[in-house]
Amino acid sequence: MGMTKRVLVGQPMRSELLGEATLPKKIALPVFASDALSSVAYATEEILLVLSAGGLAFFHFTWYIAGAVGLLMLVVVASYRQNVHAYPSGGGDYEVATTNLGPRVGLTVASALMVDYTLTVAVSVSSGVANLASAIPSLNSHVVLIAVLVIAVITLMNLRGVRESGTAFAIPTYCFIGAVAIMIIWGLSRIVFGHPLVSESANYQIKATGTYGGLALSFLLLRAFASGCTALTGVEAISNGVPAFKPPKSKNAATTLALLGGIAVTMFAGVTALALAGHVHAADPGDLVGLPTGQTPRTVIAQVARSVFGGGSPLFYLLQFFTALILVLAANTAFNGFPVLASILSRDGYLPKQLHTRGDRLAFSNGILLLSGFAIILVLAFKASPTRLIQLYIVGVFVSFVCSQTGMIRHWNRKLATEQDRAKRRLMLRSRTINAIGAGFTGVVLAIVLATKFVKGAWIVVVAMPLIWLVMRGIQRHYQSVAVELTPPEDFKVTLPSNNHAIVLISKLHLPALRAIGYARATRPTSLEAVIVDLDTTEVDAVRRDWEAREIPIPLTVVASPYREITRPIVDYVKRLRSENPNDIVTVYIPEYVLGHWWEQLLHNQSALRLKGRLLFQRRVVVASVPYQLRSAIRSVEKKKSTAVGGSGGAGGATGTGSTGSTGSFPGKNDSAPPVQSRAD
Amino acid sequence: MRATDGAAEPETRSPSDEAVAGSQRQRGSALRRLFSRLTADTDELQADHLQEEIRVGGAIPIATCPDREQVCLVGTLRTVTFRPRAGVPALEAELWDGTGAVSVIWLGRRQIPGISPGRTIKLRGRITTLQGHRAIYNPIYELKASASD
Repeated sequence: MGMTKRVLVGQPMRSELLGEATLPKKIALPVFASDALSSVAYATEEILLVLSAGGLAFFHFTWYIAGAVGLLMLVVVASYRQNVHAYPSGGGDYEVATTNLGPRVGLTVASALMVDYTLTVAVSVSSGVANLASAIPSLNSHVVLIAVLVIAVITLMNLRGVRESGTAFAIPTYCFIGAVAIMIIWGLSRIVFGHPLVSESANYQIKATGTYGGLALSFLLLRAFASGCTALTGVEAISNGVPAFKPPKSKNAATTLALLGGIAVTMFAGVTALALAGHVHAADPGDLVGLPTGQTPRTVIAQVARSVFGGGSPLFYLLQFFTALILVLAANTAFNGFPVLASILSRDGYLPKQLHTRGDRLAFSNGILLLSGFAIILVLAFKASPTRLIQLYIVGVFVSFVCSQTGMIRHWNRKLATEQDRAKRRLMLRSRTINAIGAGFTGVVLAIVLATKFVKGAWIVVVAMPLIWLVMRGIQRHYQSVAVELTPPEDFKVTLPSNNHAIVLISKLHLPALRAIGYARATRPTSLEAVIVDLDTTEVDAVRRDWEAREIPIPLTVVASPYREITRPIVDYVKRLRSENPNDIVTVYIPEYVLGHWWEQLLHNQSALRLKGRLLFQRRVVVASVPYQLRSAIRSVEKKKSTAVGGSGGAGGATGTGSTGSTGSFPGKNDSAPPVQSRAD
Repeated sequence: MRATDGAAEPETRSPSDEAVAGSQRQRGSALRRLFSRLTADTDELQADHLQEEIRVGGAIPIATCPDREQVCLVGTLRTVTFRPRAGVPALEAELWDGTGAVSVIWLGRRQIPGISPGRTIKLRGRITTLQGHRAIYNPIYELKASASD
């Protein structure tokens, strides 16, 4: 087990190396921005898909919707730059909301973000695999399997540590940005020089699924706008990941955010323009008239690439490959944000403590594994269909947007109440205005998203978020009540037990039993006796004769077992031993075999384990296991030592295991010879 | 002192009491008896069985024993403790009859054949109180027949 982990994950890293695990801007941009940039790959498609319900004529609304989405993105990026400066500790939206709006709202944001991160992984991986299948159509039947495998690979890379995954993921992102830039420039120059773009679906007709006029039309447009807002997902990832930047952290994070906003808006506008210029017709496969039966339509960005570069061109395949890759890496952004959030939540007591500390490679291993588990469940449940998953996606993002921007307004209000310096006040007022605009916009969009997407799948999120909220509150209440129960009161004085009645449980008088008796005698209890259960009368007689022959100086008690069990007679006997005095304790010494191999452990100690479990629930009873290491245990310890030291057992091997023990205290006991190493004994 | 004391002790229960108790048992519905048998602890079941033995053996329940009186007890030995060779020779056992427990101590013996855990015995002796626990020293004992005999 240990070796497998080493091979997969690598050598453990010391905590001092944590400083080295931070990222310079040129690597941080691709790591944190890949989510926002990659959503460009499916945002246009989602807008077109929704508008297709009204037929081809509705596609001309795409301009306005894309424009609105672009504007919203710039507003949100500007607002988040204020966040990043004010709260550089990486708590992100959660911290802003908790500090300014209270722990309940903060917890709402936390559950929204957790849902959001999980969906980021699911949507990005599904979309990436869909793009891959657009280049290689034969993969269409295996998308779910490929998606699950991809998630597993990303998990492994993240378990190996932040720095490594940063470098590995920077190159594909830059390649994607480059490829899309080439595509946009090439496409625009083709149009300018008079070679119009024609996509492969330009000839397909679209069956309108209904007539839309008036209110229904505006509802449809709002739905399309809400779908287009998936382009904004990922902007908050940087505010969660500020600690991963090199110092000065806030400034670098804010600069990266600005870069991210600029690049994302440009790419989104370019892809949308080319899609409309090339007459890409995207709709549900059932509504596309002219689509050959059995064929899955290509993604919008694939169709644009084909129309710009040509069908068989290597640039087309490259772009598809990079798109698939960046979508897969966008999932990686969630793996950077979720574990940090989970660690902060567990520090506050809302999640189990196992999520708090960093693992072997200075990454939050438990958080990573949890995220990948949930994402795989989602992918399996929704069969890796990006469109269906996106319906759940947007709600969580916009809940946290609204809460964090509102929190920031409160933050600036508080600061303005005490700040005297004119220049600083001006800056704060400006920040507050930006955040206010951001809050207003995102609030409206949240309402739109909830109204339009509820039936299509957003209800799952609306149900899941409060559930997560309740679970986290429950965990916190549990930890708090346990902490209250365990705190000693003001005037608490430790009182020593007045009597310690000890018993040693034995079944035979063998080496472990003799060792346990010797150890129990050494602790000098008030009273000590050996206890054996009368399961087999001949054996008990043999033990008694042996006990007499060895002249063991403690009484031997034989407990009746009328129903041939071990646990209950012993537990009842222990209960009877406890006297009325509340300061007495009963110590039960149980000999335990320690074995080297896990399968050997199945064959021994079973009744001892059951006994321990029952006895631990008895008040004023202490259970002590006296171990006896068998040869296989000693061998396995020495094997571990020799592989660690890296040679033929240089430093004298296992001295403290005590198998040779103190000679002479146990009459009749033989020293067991050390198996592997020769020692001067 | 030994032979006559215990045997002449009259039974505390009169025959009429016994008849009433018996008919009460029968009047309790069969369903209730079945339910109580299903949910009862094994200890309770054994206690019920021992009550029967007490009645048959002409003994009294330990819980009703007055202090420092000659009594006749019937019960099973829950534990038997052997003292180490180095100390004062004594054999100790705990007798339980469903209503209470009493320590039985035979001074001067290290072991007695037949005194083993799980055995049902009938004792006659004087019951005392030792550090809050009831105890009987060197009683006259009768071993009840067990499966291995």
